Amino acid sequence: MNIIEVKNLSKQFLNKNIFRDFNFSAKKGEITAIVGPSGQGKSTFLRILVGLEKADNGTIQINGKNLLKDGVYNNDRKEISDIFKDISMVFQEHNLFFNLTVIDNLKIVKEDMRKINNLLEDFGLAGKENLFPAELSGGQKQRLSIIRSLLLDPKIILFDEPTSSLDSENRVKIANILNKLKEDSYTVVVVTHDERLLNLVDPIIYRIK
Amino acid sequence: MKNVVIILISLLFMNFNNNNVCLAKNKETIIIGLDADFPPMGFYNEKNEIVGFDIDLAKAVGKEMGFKIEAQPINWDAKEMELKTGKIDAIWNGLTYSEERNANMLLTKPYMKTKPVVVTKNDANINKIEDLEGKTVCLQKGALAQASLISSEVCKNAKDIFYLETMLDCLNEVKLGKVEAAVVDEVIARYYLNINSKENCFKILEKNIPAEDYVIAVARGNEKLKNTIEEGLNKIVKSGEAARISEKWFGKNLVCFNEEDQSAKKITAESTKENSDVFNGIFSGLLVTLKLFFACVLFSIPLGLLICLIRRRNIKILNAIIDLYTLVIRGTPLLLQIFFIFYGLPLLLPAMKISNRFLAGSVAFIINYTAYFSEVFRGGINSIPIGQWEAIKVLRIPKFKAIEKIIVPQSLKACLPSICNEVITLVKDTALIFTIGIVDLLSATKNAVNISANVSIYGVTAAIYLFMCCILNIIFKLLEKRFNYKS
Ligand SMILES: Nc1ncnc2c1ncn2[C@@H]1O[C@H](COP(=O)(O)OP(=O)(O)OP(=O)(O)O)[C@@H](O)[C@H]1O
Ligand SMILES: [Mg+2]
Repeated sequence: MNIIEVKNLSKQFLNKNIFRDFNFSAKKGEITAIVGPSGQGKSTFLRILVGLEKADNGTIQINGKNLLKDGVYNNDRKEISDIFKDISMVFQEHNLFFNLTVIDNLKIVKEDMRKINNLLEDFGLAGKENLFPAELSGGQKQRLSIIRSLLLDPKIILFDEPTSSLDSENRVKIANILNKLKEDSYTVVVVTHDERLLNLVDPIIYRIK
Repeated sequence: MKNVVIILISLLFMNFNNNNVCLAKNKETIIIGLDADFPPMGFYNEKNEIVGFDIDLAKAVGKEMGFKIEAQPINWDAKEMELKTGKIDAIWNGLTYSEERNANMLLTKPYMKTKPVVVTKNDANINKIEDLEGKTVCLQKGALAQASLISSEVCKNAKDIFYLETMLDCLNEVKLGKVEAAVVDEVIARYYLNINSKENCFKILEKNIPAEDYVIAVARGNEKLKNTIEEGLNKIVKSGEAARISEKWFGKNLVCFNEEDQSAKKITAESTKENSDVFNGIFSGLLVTLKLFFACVLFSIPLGLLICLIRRRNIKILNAIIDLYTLVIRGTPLLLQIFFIFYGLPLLLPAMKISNRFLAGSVAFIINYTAYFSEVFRGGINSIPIGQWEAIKVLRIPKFKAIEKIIVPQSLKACLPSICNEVITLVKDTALIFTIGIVDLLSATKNAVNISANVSIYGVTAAIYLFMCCILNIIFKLLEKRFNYKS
């Protein structure tokens, strides 16, 4: 069953087509990878899925609900809210709240201390609670950013270049996390250039020409 | 450090003190200082020449004694300083006798008598002094009114007393209905009513106020000039010239120069002003300054933030209004805005009349500073990276929580130095409120210096301002520490 179903999606920036009639689907509980040359609109596509950009035409269905149908956005607030509840994104630049400590970055999303502490433990960030994001390493920031997205219990998690600035040790950690997420029946969509990451997680691959 | 500053400032001024004691000894021109807004004693005529009764009288004395007269307009508040520092040789401009003046300057025998009168609007329901109970009254700053009337019957019953720069300001305020009565010298009131008899909107109450002597002041120690002037006065009184001049200006001979006058015995009187009185005045000025400062900070910072947030909603009309508001406020002097709110607005929109001076002043300050703070905050919010907003949206963080925990702290860190700048500027800007008759720290200091003729009080006030700014600096340093995260 496809938890994400995208048909004939078009997006222009300043009258320039970023993509046209783009089709995509992601199976529930699987890892799907989108690969392709730089500047082809991969990040833009993820941003459309979480509502940070608007598409110009096409259809987007997430978990059975229409976000966009034949170029018309759903305007049922309740349904929109349900759709975005199911989907979250881990930013390439992390976008951690730099004025808040590790623990406050998580508490502001959801104040569930048991869950937060379990996740910090699982992701190797226990003991870092009172540091500011600027005091974390690249890998630690990436993992904190993932925990933050997991707190809201989404069904789908999107990753934009999760290993772009990481060394191989951290790459393995991220691969393990992605595999673990799949085990826990999350749906994962990952945009990446990183062939070695693809080898480590063995995803369904979409290539953009 | 603060002591050093006081000493330096004091030394700077004191150096002037004793230089010119014997001024006019070899001079043929005597410079007389006057408040050029004091018709008919000394004022600018239509041709922009200084004319008046005292000018004519001084010229007549000069002619008799062989010197020329130069009229120098001065700030009446600072007349003692002008004399002391030798910038002028004499004060000859309806100067009334008082013990303090006698202690600070060398005074001639009286040449005229005057009494202050109460001027109200024609249609005002005030017919005797007792009717002033609960009314607002204004006096000219530094004039005899301030020195001797505060405790008199007139002011005892008044609800509020304001001090303005000139007598004309006082009469204007009565005319505009800003105050119910003004206390001014009789000569000015009579003269004014005479030349404006068509308009005739004032009436005069004159009972119960004691008469005062008009004298001429020279610097202490300058007996020679004093004697010269007295001799000259004596001559023109005897020759009838003085009476002629008086009749020209008042329609009546008011000059009464008496060689055997007893004012000489008063010469020994010392200043009655105690130091503690001087510092009480400064202290209440400080309270006014602090009150204005806190009112402005407490209102304009949240209002600035609010305007900045409204702006972010991108509603076209609102943004256009806000743009116009910040343009006008930042493009015109604060002083003008204070005048506008207090004097101009009630003329345009009678319903907007703010009769409480302090309130009107505070409103002007708040309106002004809100514009600056809203721009400071705009800069701060714009400095937040777009990724922070995107994370807030994707993570579905409730709006108010996001503003409180992320947006405000992040933009505060970015604009804290600018806020600190504005707040410190405000400390000094508060001094502008004196223009609508409120005695703040600086104008209280000016008054105190004039009363006590002790310039080192300026040093004390400088130290107070400096101290306030230091405290603010420390507070902002601490705040900066609190927001001390790396980004
Ligand atoms: N807000 C925007 N306004 C105008 N053009 C944009 C905007 N955002 C992205 N673009 C353009 O859209 C194109 C696709 O950008 P996008 O970031 O989606 O590419 P990408 O496939 O993620 O590339 P990379 O692999 O380098 O990250 C680029 O040419 C970019 O310049
Ligand atoms: Mg990209």
